[in-house]
Amino acid sequence: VAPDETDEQLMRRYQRGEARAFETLMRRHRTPIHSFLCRLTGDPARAEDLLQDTFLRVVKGASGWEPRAAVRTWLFTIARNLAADEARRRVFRDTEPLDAARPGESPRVERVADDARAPDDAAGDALVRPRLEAALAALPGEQREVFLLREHAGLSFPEIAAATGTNENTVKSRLRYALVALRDQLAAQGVTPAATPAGRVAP
Amino acid sequence: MNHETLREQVIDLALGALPPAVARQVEAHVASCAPCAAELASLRGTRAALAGLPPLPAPTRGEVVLLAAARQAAEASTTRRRFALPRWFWGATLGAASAAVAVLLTVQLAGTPPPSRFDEGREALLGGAPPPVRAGEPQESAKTAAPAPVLEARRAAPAVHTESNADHAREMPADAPSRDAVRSLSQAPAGRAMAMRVEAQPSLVASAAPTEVAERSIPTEDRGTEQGLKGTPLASVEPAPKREEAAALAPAAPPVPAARPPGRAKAAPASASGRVAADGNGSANGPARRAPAPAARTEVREDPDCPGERTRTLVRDADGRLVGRERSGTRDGGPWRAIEHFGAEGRLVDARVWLRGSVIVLDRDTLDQVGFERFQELGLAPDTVTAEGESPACR
Repeated sequence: VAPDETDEQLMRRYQRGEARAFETLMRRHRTPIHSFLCRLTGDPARAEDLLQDTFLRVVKGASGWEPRAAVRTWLFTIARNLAADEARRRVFRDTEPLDAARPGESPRVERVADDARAPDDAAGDALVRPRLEAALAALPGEQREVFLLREHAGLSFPEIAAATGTNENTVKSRLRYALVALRDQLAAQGVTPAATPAGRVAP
Repeated sequence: MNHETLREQVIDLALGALPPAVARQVEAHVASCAPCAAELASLRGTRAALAGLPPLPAPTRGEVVLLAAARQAAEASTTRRRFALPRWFWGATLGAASAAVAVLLTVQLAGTPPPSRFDEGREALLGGAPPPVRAGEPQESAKTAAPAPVLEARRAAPAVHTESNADHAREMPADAPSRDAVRSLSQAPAGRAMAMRVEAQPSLVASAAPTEVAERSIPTEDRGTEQGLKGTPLASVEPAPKREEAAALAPAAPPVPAARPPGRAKAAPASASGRVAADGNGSANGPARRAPAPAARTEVREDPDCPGERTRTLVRDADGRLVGRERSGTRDGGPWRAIEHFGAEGRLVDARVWLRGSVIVLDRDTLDQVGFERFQELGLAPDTVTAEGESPACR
């Protein structure tokens, strides 16, 4: 497996029966998907289960993938839908609100985040990062998923709309609400994001 | 431009979501509007801060299951479900298991050296290069050429162990037959070997001996049986780890060491039954192979009333609970053989099936990582089966 093969090339090879192509795909995407699921659910244990389920879906559903869909988008869509299904079941089961996390309260994600390597940037700051995670966790679920899919997963608006079963305008609206809420949440915690060097803003 | 639209556009600008032409207009406005500039700066700062959150590395513990499942699926897609077990097998197996927790993994193709453990890594799981031969495993050829007795020898160890002491059992695998003995025993019918493993009653051993088995040449994979036995009532009292290690290395052990006493006090009562079986086959036999498990009862049926089965050996513990089962026969135009172990309450602990030249393993270790139900949900598990269609004798 050549390291520079695209996801789509790998996927086609896996469809033809090359298990090694799947391995490369999985290694390439498991941490991004895991990060997404961790922050989406706020629960590393659930995220790990969902991550496993996501790739098991890929194992099983590889033949259903078509080249017109980016593999990465497909993966995030699977992960998102599994998480949504699971959240629905949880709500039904123990009437825990979908957005169980409350402002300033996401200890489990913080614990995972603390284990991760901390680059010495603003988010890696041991003081700031837990607040960032908490602010994310405090978002309503539908805003959080849109924000993560856009800002961390890098999906396009149409892709997010398809993944979340809504339209682009709704996606954009949720993204706006999310960004403003995050800013306000951080400001309430004394974090002043405006101080972050503007050069770090993604285009 | 009304205020609300402008506010949205400032946010969109911070998000990088505006078309270039619109972005230029909004930037021009922001440049001349201090409140808008402050808003834009704080939003951009927020976005940048969150973009800097580090990735959360995924735990690797699930990989082995994924890789195995991927390989299985890939092979299934290219060989038309060559390795899928037919419904009849699971009908009998899971029908007997009250709560099967297992995953279906194909770990060996005919003629390839058997990867003995899943944790040998992706090479084994992905089926590329054969698994590395470990330093302690020089007898690969012997193992491949005549694997069945090796398996049986290993299986003898735990059964004996339950009745003797831990030290003896630990040494037991080292008593595996020499290479020549292994070769000669490879001709032994599986039914007899099975009886040797567990038999307490010489008469039953003798009755099992002549059982004709069609698939002598089927490669016998080498592990899992003892592990399976750990879950049985017989073995549950045992200190496991050392014993497992010893058993895993059994094929690497040299021929019976001269220094080792040929018979041990605790194994002695059983040796008679082993000799009955061995003499019946005219083979030399290591002392370990004669060791019985007096607490176990073995019931051998020939031509059981089950489609495709020619032999069926049931092993029960002192309380009559089913702890092991070996079946063989001809199905779908070819020979097959299965060894299954059951734990408490009839739960299937593991299963190993030789079918159409491949070995299929239901392994508790791997399955516990994911759970049988989830595999079922995803369609990766064997068919959801009942004993439907199977006669009661097959249960």
